[in-house]
Order: sequence, then C-alpha cells, then structure tokens
Amino acid sequence: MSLLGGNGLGLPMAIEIDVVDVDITVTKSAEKAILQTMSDDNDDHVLVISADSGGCSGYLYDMKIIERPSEEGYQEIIVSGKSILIHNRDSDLLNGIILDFKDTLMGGGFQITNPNASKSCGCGQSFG
Amino acid sequence: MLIRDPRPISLLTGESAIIAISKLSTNKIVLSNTNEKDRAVVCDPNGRVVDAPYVVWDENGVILLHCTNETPDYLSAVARTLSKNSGHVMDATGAIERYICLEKKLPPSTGLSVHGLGVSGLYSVALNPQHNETYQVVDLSAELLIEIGGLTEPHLNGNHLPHHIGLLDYVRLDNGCYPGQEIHARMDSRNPSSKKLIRIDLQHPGELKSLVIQGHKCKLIPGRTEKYAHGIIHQDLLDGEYETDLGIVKTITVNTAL
Repeated sequence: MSLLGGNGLGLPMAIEIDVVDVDITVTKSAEKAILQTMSDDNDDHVLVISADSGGCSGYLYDMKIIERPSEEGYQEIIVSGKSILIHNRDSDLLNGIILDFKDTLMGGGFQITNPNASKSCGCGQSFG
Repeated sequence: MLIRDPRPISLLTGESAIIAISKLSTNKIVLSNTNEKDRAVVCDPNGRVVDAPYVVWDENGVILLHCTNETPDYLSAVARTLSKNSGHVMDATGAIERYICLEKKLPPSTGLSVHGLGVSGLYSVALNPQHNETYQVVDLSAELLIEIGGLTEPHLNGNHLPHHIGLLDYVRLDNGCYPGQEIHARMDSRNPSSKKLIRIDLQHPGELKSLVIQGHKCKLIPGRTEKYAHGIIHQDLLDGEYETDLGIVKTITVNTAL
C-alpha cells in the first residue's frame, strides 16, 4: 500500500537549466578509441556522454554505448562517422569539454577535461 | 505522546531515483519492496554532513525524510539527473504525516516505522500513524529535537563528520565515490574516529562554554535547552553521571541520531 494518498504533493522542483549548443573537442587518440570500441556495434548505436549527480565533487561523468534513444532532447556530434549524444539537460555542464584517451595501465581510458568545472576529483570521473 | 515532525519530505520519481540518491550518499541504498527503508547520509566535499534522510521505497517513488529545516540544495542536482529520464523531485511534506514517538508507545501505523533512534535508541519515526485522542500531539521544536537526540541545523550544514554525530553505521566505503569519500577513506585507513555524540543532561541553567568530563574535553554543539545539550566526546566515556565544573551532569550516547 502506498504511503502517499495522492493529495498534498508539491509541484516538481523547478530547476533552471541553460540549454546551450554543445561544442566538444575529441583528440586523435580518443577518436581512435571510439572507432575501435564501437567497431562491432550496429549503425544505430551511439555514444552518450552525460553528467549525473554524484561522485566526490558533485557531478559524475558517465559514458555509455547504447541504441539511439527514441526520445528527443539530445544534441549530436559526429566524430568519424560515429555519433556522440549529449542531453540538453547536460549541455551547460559539458559544453567545451575535451575528450581524450590515455593508453596506460593505471588510470587509463577516456579522460575528460571540463572548462566548466571549478573542482574535480583525483580519478577524473567527478567534477563540480 | 506523539511529536509532529514538520521537517521536509521529498518524493523522487523515475527509474534512476535510488541510484541518484545512492551516488550522493555515504552508503549504497538498497530497496526493492514497498515500505522498505534505509538511510542516506549526504556530505559536502569535506566529509561533513549536510543531511541524513531516511529513504523509503513507495509505489510512487522514493521518499526522503530530511533532517534539515529547509529542502536541501543537493536535490537540485538530483532533479537535474532524474529529469533526463522523466523523473522528478517533488515536495511530499503535505502528503505524508511524520511523527516521532517513544518506542514503547507506538500507535498502530498505516504506513511504516523506523525504530531504535535517538537517545539510547528510545525513539521511532512513524509515517501516517493511526492516532486519536489517546495520544497527545505536540509540535517538534529545536529544543525537543535536542532532548530526543535529533539532528538540528548546527549538527548539519557541513559542521560535523558523520562519525561524530551518531551516523557512523551509515559510512561504508563500498559505494564508490561520493562527496566527502576521500576524507572518510583516509580516516578509515589512517585515523579512525574515536568520538561519539552524547546528550548532556544539565542540572544548572546558565552559560555553557566549555565542558570537561572525566578528563575528556567535550566539543559542545551550539544550541541547548535549560536541561539538555549535545556534545562530541571521546568514545571511551561511558554513559553515567559525572562531577564537572558545572556540577553533576549525566551523559547518554546518541546511538543513531534522529
């Protein structure tokens, strides 16, 4: 049985988000890694970069390869024929990022440098 | 007696609601059935507590029973995350009745209860209890909150580590990164906390600037009543009555801050 009777709920919290046209830089090494990682994927697969609440600095980067989402609200950047999607809700947080790839055993993988971040954690996965 | 608790309550909707709150909390929230409950502890990057809401799974979403007086700021980041998947953060304060009661005098509950809280685990939180004139209902005040071992604004706002204000059980380091995790991890490996929260029962009203009990300096938390104060002291101090410069004081450990 639900605790909520359906009455007395407030409206959804209003959050003001500036939707901006996203421009990102993908380094040569990151471009190569994207092509390699997505080489076996179908054409309808896309790389989604997002920023969710969490991590040690407030926001946490997330990157996933998924089937192209049916809902609207994403901005698309094409890199060597592969689609990178960023949600409008993340556009102000991720505009201007530099996506790099480091091929090292420790701390390797995709790295994001974010000009919008005033702080970030040591592992590079979180920013605020 | 039932104590009506007016502190804010939020409802998080959307598939990723539990994940969103887990990513901010010192522990991983695991809920899978209606009316299951857990507790989140949200800290700032310095590892200090900003909120410690009970988390309840409901058919309509995830309910957060906040400890703050106002809706906490971190919810705007959660709202942003949830909004990408058609989720929302809503104010449920007017939709749920929240009470604090003595464990022994718990009314029948139509909702759910959380037990073993506050001073020596004596109190419970009841949601939507069936109460009638047999129960006296009073409103929660800051003074009453100190008496029952609850978290007041001076306990929060990034002033204290969870280890020091009765929330140590919720600090687990298997949840990956969260705000303050580096501080907690360093404490865990190098400098384990040796302090605890106590309620101090005072016999003498008046100014309370410093207090030493059995050779242990007590860090007083701002805000006190005529009879009670909260302090942080070495964990070796046993509950009991002690002679101090202020006369005899009685100390009780707050095991799970309410």
